[in-house]
Amino acid sequence: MSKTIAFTICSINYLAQAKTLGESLAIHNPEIEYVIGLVDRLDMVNIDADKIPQNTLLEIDKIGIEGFEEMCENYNITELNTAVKPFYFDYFYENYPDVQNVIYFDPDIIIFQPLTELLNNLSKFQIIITPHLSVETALDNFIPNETNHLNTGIYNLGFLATSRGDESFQLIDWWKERLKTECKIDLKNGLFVDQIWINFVPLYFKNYFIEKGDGYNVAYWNLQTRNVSERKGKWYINDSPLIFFHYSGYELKKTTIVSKYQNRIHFDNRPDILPLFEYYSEKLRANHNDYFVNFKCHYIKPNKIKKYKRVRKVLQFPFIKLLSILSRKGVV
Amino acid sequence: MNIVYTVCTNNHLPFAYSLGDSLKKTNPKYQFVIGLVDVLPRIVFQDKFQIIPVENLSLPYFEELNEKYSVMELCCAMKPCYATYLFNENADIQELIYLDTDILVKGDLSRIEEYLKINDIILTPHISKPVPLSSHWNEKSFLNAGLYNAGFFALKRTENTFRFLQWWTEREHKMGYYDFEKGMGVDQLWLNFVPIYFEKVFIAFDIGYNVAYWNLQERTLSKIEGVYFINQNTPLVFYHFSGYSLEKPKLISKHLKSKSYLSDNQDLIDLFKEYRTLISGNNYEDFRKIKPAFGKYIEVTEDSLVVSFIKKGLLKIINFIENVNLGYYYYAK
Repeated sequence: MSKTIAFTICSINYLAQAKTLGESLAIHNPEIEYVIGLVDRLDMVNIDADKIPQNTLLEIDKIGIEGFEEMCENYNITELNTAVKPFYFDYFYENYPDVQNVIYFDPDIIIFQPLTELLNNLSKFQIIITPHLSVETALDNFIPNETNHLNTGIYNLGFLATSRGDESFQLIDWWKERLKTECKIDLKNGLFVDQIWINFVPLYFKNYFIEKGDGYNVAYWNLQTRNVSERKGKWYINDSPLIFFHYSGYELKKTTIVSKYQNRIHFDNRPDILPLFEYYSEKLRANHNDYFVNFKCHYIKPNKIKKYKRVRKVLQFPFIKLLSILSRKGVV
Repeated sequence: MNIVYTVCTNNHLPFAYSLGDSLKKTNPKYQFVIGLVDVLPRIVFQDKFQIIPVENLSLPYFEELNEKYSVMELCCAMKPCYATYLFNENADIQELIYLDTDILVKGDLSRIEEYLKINDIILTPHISKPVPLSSHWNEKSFLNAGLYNAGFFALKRTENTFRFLQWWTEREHKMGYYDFEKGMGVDQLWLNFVPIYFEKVFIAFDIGYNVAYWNLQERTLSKIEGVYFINQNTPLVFYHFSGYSLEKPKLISKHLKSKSYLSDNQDLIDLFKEYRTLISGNNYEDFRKIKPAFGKYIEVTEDSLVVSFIKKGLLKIINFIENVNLGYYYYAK
């Protein structure tokens, strides 16, 4: 059987999640090698040795990203943690010639079923992605609605599966280039971290597969069309087995909230999802979430705030006034 | 018989007529219909093509759109409405092709019929290859504006197509604004969802289709014995003069700002020249000044050179004051 690496990326503050993901993967797919890509420095903090996950931890400074310092300078923690994704893919394919498949999962995902079908699809396709929505969502003012996904990306980049090949390599190289400088959250300029760039996959490549199965990447953005049930100790989404669940925006400090990024799905109107979240919060607690969550990422600079904001405003005033007069209609 | 339709206001009728003329010449078996989001012009004009004024659609919420949308947003919103109307009014029509008013047909459209034998919805992508970040425009534009160009789509009469049209119409009714920051890009951005939501959607990568400024970097136009070819080997089927203005004849598209003058490819220059002649011949000067009857109309006035120079200077000063290093506070978030 071909060798597969699954990895996640996080800073120390998310190690409880990353460990939980690793445990879930080990139960269902022990043959898959799991690596935690750490955008942080373990040697720069005092950390209880007995709490550190026993998984392979691959710190970002070990994979040799050219221009990494500039990326740290320009990106916030979300931007930085997402921008390094293709560089990890690249590292694994370069350094493990026997590895055929490399799969990325966000740390806040856990696996519920063997990934047999996915691995089978990887023998046929080089790129597998999951859309946020596979069927239309009613037009309303809840967040997220379809316009939010048009802004931030059609596919969710909490998951990306690849197999070794020319097109997956082209994707990784192109994506690396873009994410060095263009992994910003800047909606009016079309940017949303690493995710929105993947919109182009169906235009640039042929060897891809869009996995719309109900059991894949289940999260707040698609729960409105996906019902959770338990039968004989197994979880189902509608009529399909749950493959993996993405607890995006769920936090132990506020377990009454499904996700801090949305207001569409609530535990009150969706009692079916509650057991999945209770199960997850137990796991996170056992994996020292409360301990890790307060660590600050080594690579994130303190926020820079400009001085003399008011002085600048006063100095600018006459010029702004003049500009607005000139911009009025009829001035020639 | 099948229909090709376009949607526009009176001031764009010369473009629509040129499109119709080019279609008649190259694909005479298609009927050409103009959806007019306007009241019929008072200027008497040749009635060689069928014009359907928007009032014929009897859209119950038209007044709402008239109030809230700009002329451009309104026209875009009417595209799916006209498609539904044309299917309903013409029971014998099985296929419908939409072309933007600023398109010129130069080749045989029959391949679309081939595609529609096994597909219901045909779209064309803006680009099919990465564009280097260093070029004077790049891929980011299409992350905002949409992956597929809404200047062309082809539909077959099926339940699936009607489901798509209903979905699109509803979105164009409520959220057809031009507001990228809010995830809206008139009719076009919605198309991003189409290959995911709907069955039998085909993305036509044919290099002869929907050639425009956004794909000229991967498609070279040349004229061989009087016929236009793309990349020397594929006949040009239709060119989309998106953002082209007769007032600035050397600028390939206003969406590209500078650096995009028609200078290096004589065959491309010829095509644009041919287009200008066609538009002028279709009474451009008479129609261009007609104010659209519906939608918010913003007259575009150009700054004089002096004003635009002063404005640029002012912006530079404001920017300088904003960014001059007077020191920073640091605090950890």
